[in-house]
Amino acid sequence: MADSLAKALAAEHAAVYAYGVIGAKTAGKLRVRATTSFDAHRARRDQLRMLITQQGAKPAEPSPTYQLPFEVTRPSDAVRLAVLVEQRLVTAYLELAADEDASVRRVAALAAQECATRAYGWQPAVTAFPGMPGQTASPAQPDGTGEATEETTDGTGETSATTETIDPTPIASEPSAPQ
Amino acid sequence: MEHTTRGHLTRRALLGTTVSGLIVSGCSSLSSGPAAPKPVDPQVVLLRSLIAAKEQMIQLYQRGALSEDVPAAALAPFQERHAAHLAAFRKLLPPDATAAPSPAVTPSPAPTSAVSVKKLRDAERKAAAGRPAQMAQASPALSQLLASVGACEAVHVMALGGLRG
Repeated sequence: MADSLAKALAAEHAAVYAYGVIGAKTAGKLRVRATTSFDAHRARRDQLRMLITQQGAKPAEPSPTYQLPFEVTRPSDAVRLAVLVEQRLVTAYLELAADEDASVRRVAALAAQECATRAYGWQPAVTAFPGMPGQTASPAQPDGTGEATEETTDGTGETSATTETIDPTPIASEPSAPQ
Repeated sequence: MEHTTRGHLTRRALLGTTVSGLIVSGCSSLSSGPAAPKPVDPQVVLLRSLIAAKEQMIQLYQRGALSEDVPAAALAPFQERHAAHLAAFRKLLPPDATAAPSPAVTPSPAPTSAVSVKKLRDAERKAAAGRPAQMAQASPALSQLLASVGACEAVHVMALGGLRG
């Protein structure tokens, strides 16, 4: 099984967990958006599981809990987390886009587009090369707030052996950013 | 042998000339003609088509800037991102391939007529939708680049929808 496929699945597991938190901290239209995103990520997770199984491997199960990169107490925190999750997923899918199998590449391309547009839906900022390292987003609208800044604060304080970071997508073969 | 009828070439004469011409040209190419051109790398062919399409997209935005739908300044960031994509594609072309553009790369005339934001959105949507098929033929590095470019184009569809027009 391709390592990038396992990484994409791990990222989707983390996204499903994160959207559970995001949904709990939002209401109204934001809650609806969170629920829709939650369902979309579950569907992609199941698709990745199927692809891994078809390759004769066993898909990894999700961790019981995940360590969030910052404390999520307000709706604005939830939005920031949603943007971060989607951006990280775009990167995971860019890595998967180098897979030898054209059908896997197709999944990666479509999923990357979906994640990028969902990130924009949460926070309207655009980069020329979504998912590539070193990208600086520009607000798409005058009142846009720009790219979410990544925090490393561990709001949960949990260090359990069964706790995974919400960012399980360290990029081993990281796509190189065009100069 | 009679090859003409009232001053016109007969079909037999025409066919005979054509066949003998093919035979002669075939023999000459085998014996003393120039060597067959080196086959073009499929990645170069793909890159040239990507470059041509990006150039057309940028020209479309130049025409969009002539529209009264939205201020030209609002479209400038979109055009800049496409220019960044174009530069990234060009950078992947081998040095010896840049001097021989395909006919599709031939620049079009300067933009004269305006296009609507709707047309720009349609072009972005079409470009994003075409990326998976292009990725199937691409090298791993180009495939990753195309996935990212496609994601940007998909976001452009949404962002253009937020512009008045």
